[in-house]
Amino acid sequence: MKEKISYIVMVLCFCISTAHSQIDSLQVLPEVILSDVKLRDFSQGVTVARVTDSVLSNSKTALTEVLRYQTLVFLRENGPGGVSSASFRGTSAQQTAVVWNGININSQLNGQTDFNTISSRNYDNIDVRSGGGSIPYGSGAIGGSIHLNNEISFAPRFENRLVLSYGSFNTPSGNFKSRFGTKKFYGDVAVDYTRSDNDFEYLDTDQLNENGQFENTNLNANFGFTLSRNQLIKVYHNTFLGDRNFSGTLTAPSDDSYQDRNTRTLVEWQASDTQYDSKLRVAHVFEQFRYFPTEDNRSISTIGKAIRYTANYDFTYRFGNDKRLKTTLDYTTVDGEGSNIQQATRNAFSASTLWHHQVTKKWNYGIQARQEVTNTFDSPLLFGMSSEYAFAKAYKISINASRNYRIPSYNDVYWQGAGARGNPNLIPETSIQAEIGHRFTYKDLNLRLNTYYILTQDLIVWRPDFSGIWSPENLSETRNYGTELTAEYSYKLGAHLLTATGNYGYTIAEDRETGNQLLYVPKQKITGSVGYTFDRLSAFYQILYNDKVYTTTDNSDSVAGYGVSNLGVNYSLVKKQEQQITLSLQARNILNKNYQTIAFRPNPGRNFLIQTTYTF
Amino acid sequence: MKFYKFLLIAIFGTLFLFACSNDDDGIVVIDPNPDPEEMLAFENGFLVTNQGPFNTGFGSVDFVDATLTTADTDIYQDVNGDNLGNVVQSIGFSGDLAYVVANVSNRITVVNRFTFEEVARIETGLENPRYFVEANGKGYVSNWGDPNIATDDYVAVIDLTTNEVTGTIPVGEGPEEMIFNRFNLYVANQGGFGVNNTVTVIDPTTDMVSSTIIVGDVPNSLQLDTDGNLWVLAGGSPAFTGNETPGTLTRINTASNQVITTFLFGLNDHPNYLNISGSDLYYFLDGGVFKTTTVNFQTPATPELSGVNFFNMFVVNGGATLIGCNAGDFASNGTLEIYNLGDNSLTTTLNVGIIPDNVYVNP
Repeated sequence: MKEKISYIVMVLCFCISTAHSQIDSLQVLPEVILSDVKLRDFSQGVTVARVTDSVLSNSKTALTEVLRYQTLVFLRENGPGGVSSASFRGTSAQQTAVVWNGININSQLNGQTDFNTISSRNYDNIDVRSGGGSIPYGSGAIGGSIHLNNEISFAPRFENRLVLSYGSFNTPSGNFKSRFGTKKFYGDVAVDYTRSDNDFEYLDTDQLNENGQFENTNLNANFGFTLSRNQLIKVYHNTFLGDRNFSGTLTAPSDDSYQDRNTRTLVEWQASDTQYDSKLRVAHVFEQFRYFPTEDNRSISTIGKAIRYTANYDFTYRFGNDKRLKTTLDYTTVDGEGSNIQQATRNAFSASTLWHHQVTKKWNYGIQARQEVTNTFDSPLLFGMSSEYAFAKAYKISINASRNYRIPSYNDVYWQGAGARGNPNLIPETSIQAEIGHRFTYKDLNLRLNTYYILTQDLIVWRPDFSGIWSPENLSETRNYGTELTAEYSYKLGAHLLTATGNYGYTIAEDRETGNQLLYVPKQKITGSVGYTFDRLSAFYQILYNDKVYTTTDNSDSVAGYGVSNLGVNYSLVKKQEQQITLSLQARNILNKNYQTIAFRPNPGRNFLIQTTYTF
Repeated sequence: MKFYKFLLIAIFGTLFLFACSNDDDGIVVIDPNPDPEEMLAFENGFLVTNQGPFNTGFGSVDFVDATLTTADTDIYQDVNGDNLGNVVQSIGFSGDLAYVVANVSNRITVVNRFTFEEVARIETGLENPRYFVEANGKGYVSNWGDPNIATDDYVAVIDLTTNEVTGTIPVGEGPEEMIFNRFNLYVANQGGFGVNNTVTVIDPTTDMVSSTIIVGDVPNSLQLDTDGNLWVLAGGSPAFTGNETPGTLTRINTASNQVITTFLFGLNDHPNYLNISGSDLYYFLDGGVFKTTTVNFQTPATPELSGVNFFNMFVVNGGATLIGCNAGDFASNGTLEIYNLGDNSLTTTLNVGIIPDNVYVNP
């Protein structure tokens, strides 16, 4: 197999590597079938960073935890385990798309993904794509997108991995993943379970994090069948069951709870030849939440659900080795309703086309466009272009510009009840953005510098009217600009391997009318990690610095910036080809720092995790 | 309120400040010539409650001087080095004491109204408390109970010597404002997250409900006129309920507790913030402040002030001044807009806390 995405695979080093995009002749039915080929083939000019399997299996499973320390994505988490949303480059939670095996799974109801309802360990890798991506990935990919990938590969195998861990605040967790396959068949099944009392003490107070307990179960199953030399069927499935209480804050008590029931199923028929790839995909995505305002009285609840069917046909034609044209037709129908959501059906048809041309060995460019037609509102024509030029092996420059959008959610349009009302006249938020990237590679040093500018208009803002009824309008405009610097370095001396990675982000995200920084966007974020491996032993140290964030739109109140760091040691008790046992000890927030990500929601002080990983 | 938390999660995802609804008044006259030597820190001026951010933060009380030119923000924090709790809804008074009601925190902080030094806290027996009124030597606090249960709403009775809840009086869903006319305590049952249309009459000598008066949908403000009549402004049922009803203004004879007259607004008109000053009657509708009289009520064709964005408003200084509470975008510090009602000009804008809601004269 010639895996075209190469990684610096550093065992247990907690670093993130960057996916290269290269064009080579693709063999028919490669050994590893990527679930989302366009991420590789049509992401020139934007940064795609990968969180690898070894990192995922060694992190806490909540996607919030994984991304917070590895990337510049800013996570707004309502306390550990609580509702958590992500934002790239100072954009909003609804301007961040989560893409599961190639399909956008942001909630139809609120337009965003709760990052504490994604169990990352069940995925083979997670890609973090910074920058606009609405043309390939649809609504919400304004700031960037997070890609949850399962890979299917055809080779005889039977591999299992069992991870068991126990953390502070009575937090047991387990993950079991089994892969099996032949040359014609592939299957994997993964189960992930975490529960926690989550009753940590609020440092410097006599309060505990009350009502914070949660229990999450995540199931994934993926199958691949080869039908012939050039045809295969792939089936992906994910079920997430979450039961959690919403913790209080320093000033507000809480006794409510929340249930998530999400399933996603995708069936794909692929036919490939040297010249083309043809893919027909059908997906069913179900989401349901149930909110219990009083934990003691579960007979009272509020519900919301959406059922979505997507049929998608994707055809890629290769003109020789250097040109590709991908055309995608997509039909999606969503049926949503809830206690406070009017029943409504939304249908959307979209057509997109993506062109990529590797003009010379050094230079490539791409042009992309997408138009969506819906029964509910007018969608903008999206377009984009990108180009990369490699001056030398050591230095590459890239540019891209695109128009992206996020559609009004069901809540925005169809909410009806108790003090609020949706607005059927909303139009999508649209953005125009541009970015320049530089990439330097010298021996084991890898540097990336990106500078971006995003203008977004028609932002959907909820406000009360004169009689106090809250409703949304396309009200504000924002301007985001900033720069991101990523560095990776590894050094090998004999059996010793030293790795270091760092990210620095400077973000201005302002309301164009007031010039004020948007809520909860830190101007600076830094992440760093150092890993050391020697024989059976490895260790890591990671640090996160988050600048002050504003909590009021007039920037009169803020949450202080903080630095927090973690330390971990891994030891391989058994290290054989067919059997490995690794023991891991981690200490988080080692300096016992009292810090808040969201105002009045303290984070845990120093806490510990012990984990064993058994691979057989 | 939990509903807001739910909205927060359901609609907004994670974060946003949020407000509850409002309203009260105090008819006290400010000493025009105070002796500065004898004045306490927060004497002779106005107290302003700011709800503060919902869930993540705390509300506050500001002090504004009698001339309405300067605002001293978060005086409780300054004096006591602590906060008043989440979503400061209102203040009630008894003698020199002020009872500051924090809705989400289920807490009443008892302070000296002139020094703002804390005296006591009431933290048990309250569930979503809204307003405090003293009557017959006792404290009465309207409580929603569980907002999702229509039948558990009550008025808590507080022994003001021990600061303990000694009893509860069941009322209709969503009790908000209360007013005491020396004989009866009137409780406006606004409906909470739903719609209600009653005023409960409580006899504070027995702490029993003596009658229930049917008024328009969503009674949002109560006022007494100089003849002792009770006026109840009801906003009407909003459009999103699917059963929109017009706003109404009801005049009630407090001797018989019978409705004298009911005025109807237009079907889509949902008025709020009733003020009565002498015989002048003010209300707020669609960004306008309208003025009419209690003697000959009719809906005026044109507003006194228009294009204003008030979360609440108070006519003070004997009808000479209007204080409008502007909560802005509900996610930043608000302002008090001071209007001269002689020529309807804006005289001052004062910066106050997040979501300014109620203003009380502190003589």
